[in-house]
Amino acid sequence: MIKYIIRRLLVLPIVIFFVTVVLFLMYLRLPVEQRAMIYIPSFNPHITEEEFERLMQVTIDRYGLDDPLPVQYVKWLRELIADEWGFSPTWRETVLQGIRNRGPASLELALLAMIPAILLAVLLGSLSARGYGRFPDHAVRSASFVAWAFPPFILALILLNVFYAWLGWFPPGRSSLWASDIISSEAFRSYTGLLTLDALLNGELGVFWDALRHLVLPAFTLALAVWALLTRVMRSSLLDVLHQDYVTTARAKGLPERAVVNRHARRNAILPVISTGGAATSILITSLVVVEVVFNYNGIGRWALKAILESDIPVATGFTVFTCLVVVLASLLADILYAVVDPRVRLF
Amino acid sequence: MGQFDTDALQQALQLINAGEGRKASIILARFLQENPDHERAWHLLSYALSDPEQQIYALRRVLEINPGNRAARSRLARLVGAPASSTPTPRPASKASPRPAEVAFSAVKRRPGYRDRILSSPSLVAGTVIVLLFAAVALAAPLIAPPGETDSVYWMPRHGYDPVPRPPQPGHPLGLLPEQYDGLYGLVWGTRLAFIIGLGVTAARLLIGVFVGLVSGYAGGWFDALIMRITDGFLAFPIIAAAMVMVALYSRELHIFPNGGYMVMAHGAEKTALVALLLFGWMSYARLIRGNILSERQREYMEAARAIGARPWRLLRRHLWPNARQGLFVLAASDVGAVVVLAAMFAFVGLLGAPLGNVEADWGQILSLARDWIVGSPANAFEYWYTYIPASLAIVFFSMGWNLVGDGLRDVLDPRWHRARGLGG
Repeated sequence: MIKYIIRRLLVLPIVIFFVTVVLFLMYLRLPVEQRAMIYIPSFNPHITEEEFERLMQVTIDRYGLDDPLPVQYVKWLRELIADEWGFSPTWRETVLQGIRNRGPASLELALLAMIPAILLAVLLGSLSARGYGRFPDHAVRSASFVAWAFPPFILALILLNVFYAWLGWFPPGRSSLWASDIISSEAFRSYTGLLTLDALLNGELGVFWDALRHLVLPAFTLALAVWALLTRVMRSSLLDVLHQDYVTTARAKGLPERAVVNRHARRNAILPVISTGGAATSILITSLVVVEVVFNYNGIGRWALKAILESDIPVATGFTVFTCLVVVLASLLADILYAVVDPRVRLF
Repeated sequence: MGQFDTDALQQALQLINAGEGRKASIILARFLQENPDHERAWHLLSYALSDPEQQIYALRRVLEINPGNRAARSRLARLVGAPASSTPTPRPASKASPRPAEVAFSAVKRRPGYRDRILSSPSLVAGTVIVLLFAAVALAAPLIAPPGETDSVYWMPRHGYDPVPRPPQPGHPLGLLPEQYDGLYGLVWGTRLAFIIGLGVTAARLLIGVFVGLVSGYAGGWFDALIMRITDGFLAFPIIAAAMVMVALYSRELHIFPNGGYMVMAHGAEKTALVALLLFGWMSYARLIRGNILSERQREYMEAARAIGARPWRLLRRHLWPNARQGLFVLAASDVGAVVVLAAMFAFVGLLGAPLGNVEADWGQILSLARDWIVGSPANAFEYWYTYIPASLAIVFFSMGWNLVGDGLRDVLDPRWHRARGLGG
């Protein structure tokens, strides 16, 4: 098992190398003056043409923008990593600071969406497969079909209109004003960055409820699409497994259907759910950005999008590298989980 | 029981008629576990099975239950090769009229045509109807919403400069969007744009993916391994991050004003995010084609073709490709919907957009305009529903239609899919 994990970990640097190369090539397509401009966030606009030319030349020399490609790549990479992944002119902070400040909020949202979605998908997917062609199957299938048809950003708009504007139950944002006052006060200590957890650790039940109330709509929006996808996968994979010979054997032994599903079939049926879940991370990140924008949720997606619309290149590169890292780590995690459930994989 | 029982038999009969004997036999076997003395079920089972011995057994069971079943008796007689005269029932006298069993039998032998199979898939029928409705709207766009005085028909004409949207009224059946763009115009011409973007981007993704998959799978070896690692690398990019970084790099222009201020302006943004959509979207096609090729190239028919001296090109085109493209159009059909949803999403968050001062007649742009008005007014939360509901529904149904077409195509084109799944999904 340890060997398997190490072998999978070795793939990580390769993928990251590839990601940076792709980014570097994209960036190379820009003319050299434009690339130089990235390193000059601000300058006195009253300088003469000559002075501007000299500024250009100095920048090009300093950052080696006309060096041979491999040298340029290394310099570019060093510049990318140096000083906490560069300075964002939009947010007036370094990229890594931005990720550190807003990452936990997005993580909190993603966790609150993913955990119930996965559990419910496994549960309802098996319910549906076991009741093939009967009422529970039809109900779950219709529900997942409808859920799958609604893209997250459209669902988000509708939920915002109904549950915030009309009913007033769940406000957008991350916390109410009074709660923000408590959170930013000296007494409130941040342990994890996850607001709900921190509130509990600080013994602030009011803040906890407030944070939860703000999380409900975005988490539900994110969860629904994931749930629909995984439910469909779980259902069809359990149906496959239930028709395999070893399941028939288990039934022939006289085991009750419950035991057949719980002890024999589900473990195998869950494998495609794990791999699909791992592959769905990149879709999840895409939805996360939009959901954060619609609900004004102060997470990493909203942070990145706002900067990118201002052409903030350090944030654009940093965000891309960071999300690629998340995707790769998630697929790694899925692979390990797969190997835990299915020992055959470890043999290769 | 009742209703469900006859349903099972009905389903089995349909499956037999569709040539899906194995599936039918599974259903019948289940049914017979509960009703071991059901004459018709045993009879149907004899048509579902392919092994003559099993067919004989099933027919004997029919005759045990009802010795007077002439159709079963005559078929049993033919199978056994001698008249089954163990029971005293007289054999049928005339052979003139075709017996029901023979009619049913010929149905089994007949290979169902595409038309039957298309009609047998409700998803395909529903999906096609939805897509055709959208296509009709797209084709009739100039009739439903005559173009205004914009440079491009795909830009929405505006009827004023007031930011507050106006409710539906004569002349503007879907109201006026914020900034006084006509809602119906955007919806109708947006349908055209959805087809252009969806089909265009999907076709490009498909071409890139098929090319990469073919080359990689056909070459094999270290080259294949390299290409597949590159594909994995592309898969690591969340599509929105790819679009964001490309827009940030290529679609913004810094305008510096004489007074020292500066402003970032969109420039060519209507294309960049779409390019990102195809540059980072071909991977599933490549993986599909490569996987198919790897499994097909080992088959005997390939060896046979090689043995008779077929050239590589002919081998690829005539033998490998028809089998390697399994599932390609299924993937492409649902991809059209997915691409349109992503494009609308990019437009909604501001990554796609017409040159300054114009708004494209695009569903995503409509939603982007409507964004600040969705919460309505304090008195009526749904006051501005007309700004976003029509476009939202259009996106939902458009992608649903293509998804249904994809699901249906899978059912119709690839019977192996069913067989591999036993009961089908």
